Order: sequence, then C-alpha cells, then structure tokens
Amino acid sequence: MTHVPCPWDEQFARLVIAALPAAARHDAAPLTVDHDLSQAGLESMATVELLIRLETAYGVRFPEHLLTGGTFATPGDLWEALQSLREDAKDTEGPTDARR
Amino acid sequence: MTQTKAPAQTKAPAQAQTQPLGQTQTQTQSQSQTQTQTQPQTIPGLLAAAVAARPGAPAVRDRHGRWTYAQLDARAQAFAAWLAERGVRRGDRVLARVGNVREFTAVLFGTLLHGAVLVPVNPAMKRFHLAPVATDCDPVLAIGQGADADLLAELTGRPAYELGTLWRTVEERAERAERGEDPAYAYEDPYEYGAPAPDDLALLIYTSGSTSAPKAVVSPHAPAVFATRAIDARLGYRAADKVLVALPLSFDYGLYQILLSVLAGAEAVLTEADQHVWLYGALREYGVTVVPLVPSLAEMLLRLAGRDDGEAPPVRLFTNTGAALTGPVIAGLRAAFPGAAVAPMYGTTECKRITVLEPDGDLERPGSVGRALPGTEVLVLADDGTALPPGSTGQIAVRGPHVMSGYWRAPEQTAQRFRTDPATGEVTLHTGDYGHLDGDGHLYFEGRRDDLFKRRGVRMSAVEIEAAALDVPGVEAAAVLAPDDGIDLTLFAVTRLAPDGVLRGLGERLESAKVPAVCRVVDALPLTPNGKTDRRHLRRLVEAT
Repeated sequence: MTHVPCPWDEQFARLVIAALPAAARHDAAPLTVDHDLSQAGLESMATVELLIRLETAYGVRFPEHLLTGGTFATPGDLWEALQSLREDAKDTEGPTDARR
Repeated sequence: MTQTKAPAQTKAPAQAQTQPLGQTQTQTQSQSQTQTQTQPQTIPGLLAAAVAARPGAPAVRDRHGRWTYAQLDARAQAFAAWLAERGVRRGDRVLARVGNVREFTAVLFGTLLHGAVLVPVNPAMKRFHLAPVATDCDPVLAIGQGADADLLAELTGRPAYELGTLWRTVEERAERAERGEDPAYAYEDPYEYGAPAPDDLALLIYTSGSTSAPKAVVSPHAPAVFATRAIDARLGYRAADKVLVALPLSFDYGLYQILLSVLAGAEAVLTEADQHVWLYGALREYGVTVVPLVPSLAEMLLRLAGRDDGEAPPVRLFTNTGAALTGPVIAGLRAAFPGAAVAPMYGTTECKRITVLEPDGDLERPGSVGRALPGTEVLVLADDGTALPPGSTGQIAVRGPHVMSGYWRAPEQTAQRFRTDPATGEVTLHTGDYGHLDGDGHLYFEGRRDDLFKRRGVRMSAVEIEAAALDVPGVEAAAVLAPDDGIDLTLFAVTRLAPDGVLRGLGERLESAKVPAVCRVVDALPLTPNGKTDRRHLRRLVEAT
C-alpha cells in the first residue's frame, strides 16, 4: 500500500467507492491512490456512471482523449485527470456547466 | 517446443465423435449443396471470396491498427503454417483465450484453413469454469495473452503459447509472403491438413450459464456458413459497413459478426471492455454503421450519448439478441441515433440464429423476435411433441440446415435436444424456450422453460413480471427468480424507488399471485460474461440471506 497522502476530497472518494461492486467496497476504503480499480471490479457500465457523476458533481466535461482505461485505472489517475480539467475550467470562464 | 502427441486421427473426426448424427449431416449437405452450388461452403471459403473481390478493402481494425482483406488473409495463412509446424492436424482442437484483437480473426481463419477446430474461450471466464472447459475440449495446444498462457498450460496439460510472442513469428512469415519470398501456407493433404470440407468440424462454442457442467456446441462449417448467409439475407450488411464488435469474440453473437462482416466485404471494428467509456466517441471516430447490442451495452451507449453534444455517429442498424432490449431502451436508441433501424433477433448457439425481425419491424409488431431464417422452419410444440397452431404457447423447436451437430462428447444431452425423426432422419432442435407464433409466422419469445412456473396455482413467466416491473416509472432494470426450495418469488430491481414502491407498482399491473413476495433493490444486475442476467448469482444472493 502507498504512503502518499490522499489528495482528493471526500466527495470524490465517496463516488469512486460507490462505483465498485458492493463486495469490493470494504477493501477499497479508505481509498488509496494506487488501488487497481479494474481489479476491484469496476466494470464498463459502472465506469460510465462514475464518469457522469464526476462530471455533474465537479461541473467539468472529460474530453474524448481522457476517456480511456488509463484515466480510470486508479483513484490517483482519475483524480489527476479531474484536477487538470478543473484547472482548465478555472483558467477559462470559471466553472462551466458540464451538461447541455 | 514439443507437444504431447494427440491420438491418431482419421479424416473428419467430427463425424466419428458425433456418431448419432451422421445421417443428418448427409442430409444437411445435400440440402445446402442444391441451394448454394457455387457459393463458398466453408468459413475460409468466405474469406477467400472477400479477398478475391476486394483485397485492398479494410477487413478488421482494433485499437492498435488495421488490416486489409489481403493482409488478414496473409496472417491467417501464416498462422495456419505456424500450427502445421507444431504438429497440429485436421480435426485437432486449438483453444484460443484471446480478447477482441485483430490477431483473433487471423487465428480464427488460420485454424480453420488448416482443417483444425477453434475453441474460443472468454478471457473473463474464471478458473472455476475454465478448468473443466480446458480439459473437456481436449485441445492440442492453447493460446492466451500474457500470464494467462501459463494458466492455460497448467489447466490443459498441453503446450500453451503467449499470443504477443507467437505473433512475432506469424507476422514475419506473413510479411515474407507479402514480399513474395515464401508462400505463407503450403500444407495441403486430404488426410492431414488443409482445405476443410463443409461437414468438417469448425468451432466448439461453450455455452454459458445454463448448466453446471461445461457444454460445447459442435459447429461444422456448413451450418455456420448457412446461418451467416441466412442472417445476412434478412439484415443486409453492406461492403461499406463498419461493424462494431464490442461483444466478446468467444460469444457466438460477437464471433458471427466477423463472419457476417467478411461475407459482406465490410470492416469489423473490434473494441475491448476497457475502451467502452469511449464507446460513443469510438462509433463516431471509426464511422461505425452496424452495432450489435445486448441490453447492458445498449444502456451504456445511451448514457454516453446523453452526455455528448457532438454529432450522432453514423449508425444505421442496431441488432439485438442474447437478451431482449426493453421498449424504453429501443425508443432511447431511436431518439439518440436518428436514422438508425433496430432489428430484434432470437437464437441459440445450437443453431446460431432462429429468427430475425426485419429492421424496424418492431414498430409494427412490438415484442416479436421475427420470422424463421429463410430456408429454415420454426415450430411451437405441445408437451407431447405435436405442433401447436398460431397463438398457442409451447416449446420453440427448429429445423433446417443451420442446426448444428450436437454437444461435444455428450451423446445423451445431444439426443435430448437434437431429436432425430427415426423415419425421415430429420433433426428437430428442441430449444427449451417457450413462445408462440402469430398467423404470419412471427415468433414471440416468452421465456426459458426454467422461467415458466406456477405460483398459487397460476401459470406465469419471469418475462411478464419483469416487463411489468420495467413499466413502473423509476425502475431501470429488473430480474425475477422463480419460487424454489422454500424461497418465494423474488424480484431484483435497479431503481431509486423503495422496494415497497416497486411492489405497489407491480400490484397495480399484475394479479396478486404474480406480485413477488420480496423486492430487493440492487445497484446493478449481475451479468454473465455474455451480458445476460446471471440468475445463478441472484439465486446465491437469495440463499445467502
């Protein structure tokens, strides 16, 4: 297990853990940066749900080049991608509406 | 590497191993010969025709690249030569546990070109199921990806090869052949290698979930090619199509997309599960026009379409089988993909496909899975085996050249499902599914035998209760477990409603005997690797409490 302190907020951890199958949630909490999400049972449909929940919660839109297995590989990877989008959003016009 | 020598095989071991059906195979052959005198009757024949017609057209792509028909052919031949060098002979089984990558298509055509038999196995299959499959199919060698090759060696007791490693040899050979330095494949011998006959065994396809022991459907070339052609006659794949293969290639619905695509001279676009968060973008990027769907894939696609404000991908046709799409999902697809038609279908691996509804035929006949494939017959039988008139519910049975040869090394199970008329020799496949026909021969599927049951003296089907549950606003998915062994009728629902709310909604829609005693709200229905509801898993959930 990693010793890197977890960088994310509570909402992120809650959404990621909720996306895992019930049986894997206990092992995933507390969430660590390098937890293997696919190993933990994060399936494609749950990945899509997680994507949409993160976009709604943080007011961002993941561009197509970030819609890869790599982005969703670990909580650390996913948080990093999310942070880069939030910074982009700040740089431009403030928090954008992720949904039409 | 040396291999354990397989027992000496004579020509066409397929027939020897499915002895009781020899009679039917002869008949099947004569039927298909009269129908398709000049058309290819083997799976490699389909590829050869496509290569002759359009060598430079794209045949298959995956995330790593793309092959034309000529390139696919060169790699199939090079793989066949690789098998020959490892002592593989006509009728030998080659187990391939490979994801949705281009190499699979070359392994498929190469194995069959060599006269050997391909056993595709899902990489998602767990050891619990894989172990019996690995011994049941009795392969001469196995192919896996990464560390999985070691597991296959252990479970089969035969040589197992890592795909990426062996592919370097195959690719080099294919490239030498493309430069004209070597023939890619030069092994033709009527007893040992090459040039399969229409009645030779082509595929062993393990069916998922219905019984505890692994069970493979024995598929010769002729019925597979007949089924491919008959499906295409109804659906009409085109040379310009890009056909999505997001379903596992080990699942016959996924596998036959390759055959349909090659028959049409189209391009197959292979994707793997970890790419599916990008599925909607992939459809647009690759210009996908034909999308075969199981319900879970359809729901995912709709969720992704809902967050995308770009142009809709150019999909013109959605097909569905395996498990039926619900009405709201079909309506959602039509809304999100203007111009796309939807073609519900119904089938079973034992004859590949039974019915196909013409694209958009559901608008006129909602709930129907279509008419029998051209050149085949669908019957609805009473318990005593006599044919029932339209409107009556009974067991769905099938006759025609698409009926496969039975189950691998399981004569009793074969005799039970593939019933031969002692007088005519004709085989009637008893599907174990129930349904009825309308006056025009359109079939309505009502459920598996196991899904039909009596409660408080009332006959009912899981399908009707599930359909009523889906009609309750707020219920996204539903599965019913029949009463069994002291456990009453149970509903599993994916919903934001409370369990009582779901049951109340059902009470408004169904007579009281059909309203489940218990509703359990779950995050998602457990699925088998092929995207069907995993009822055994649900049963275990109930038993655990």
